[in-house]
Amino acid sequence: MAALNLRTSQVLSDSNTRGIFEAVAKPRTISVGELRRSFPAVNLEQSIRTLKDADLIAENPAIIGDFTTLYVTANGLNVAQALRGSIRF
Amino acid sequence: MIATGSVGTTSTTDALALPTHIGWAIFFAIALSAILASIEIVREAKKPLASCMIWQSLLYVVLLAFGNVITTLLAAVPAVKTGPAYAHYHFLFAAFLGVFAFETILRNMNVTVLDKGVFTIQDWLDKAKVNAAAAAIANDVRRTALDHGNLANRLSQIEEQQLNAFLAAKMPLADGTSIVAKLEAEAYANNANPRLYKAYALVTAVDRSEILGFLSQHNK
Repeated sequence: MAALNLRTSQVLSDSNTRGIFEAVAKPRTISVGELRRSFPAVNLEQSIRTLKDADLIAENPAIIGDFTTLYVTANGLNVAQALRGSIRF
Repeated sequence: MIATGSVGTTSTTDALALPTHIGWAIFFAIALSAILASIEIVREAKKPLASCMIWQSLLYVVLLAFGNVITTLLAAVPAVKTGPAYAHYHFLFAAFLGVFAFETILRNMNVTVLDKGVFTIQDWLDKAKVNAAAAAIANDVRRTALDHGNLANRLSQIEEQQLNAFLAAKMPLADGTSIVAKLEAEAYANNANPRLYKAYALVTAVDRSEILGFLSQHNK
């Protein structure tokens, strides 16, 4: 985590948010529905908003919310690279 | 000094002689750079090559090619020393040696002055690659959305009862309520065309091949 800036470190210090970031960053794109199935007990909207505000992920909205596509940004890829030692992408 | 012998030959007496086909060596180095860059961007983005064909990728290719061409020119001198028997292949030796040298030596070179990295080729290349990969991911999302739009337009031209049947079969709701009624209510609430709304729901939820199969059955 040494290579991450303070804001990113703060965002990813929350285990749920970090888990969701990893779930987006690993396949690079994922639908909200798939995330909802993987993290049933998490306030998904809050974590997604936090990750979007930190410019780690972006979204392409769909008519049905669950089919909205989330994808990792350039900043998110850099963070994923920095985290690569602790998780496998 | 460039050798002035006939095509395909080099002067072995001249220590600084370059392959007469140095142009081909540069061409091969650039071609290898393009191939390597494509592989790396596709691997980083985890998206099809078609989605990676964007100008940000070209920037990475240019950066990689620049390094590879320089090392190819440097490698051209030792390549000539393989002897006149291999003169026709000197340009190939130079290109492969140059690309190999860049990938293994120069990329890992990190010159620091007062603890500041001033010559960190790997960092520059990583930044260019990550930018290209991120742009490729966003491009892939856009391409998929465009494809969904086209498919939804085609689906919305199908007779509504058939569309509803396909929708009910492919997207049943877990609570047993009607997906058709739910989507129609949402469409009306958004003042949207219900048929197009249902079609969009289908293309985002159902596998593309199934949608195409359904469309082909209805000649759309």
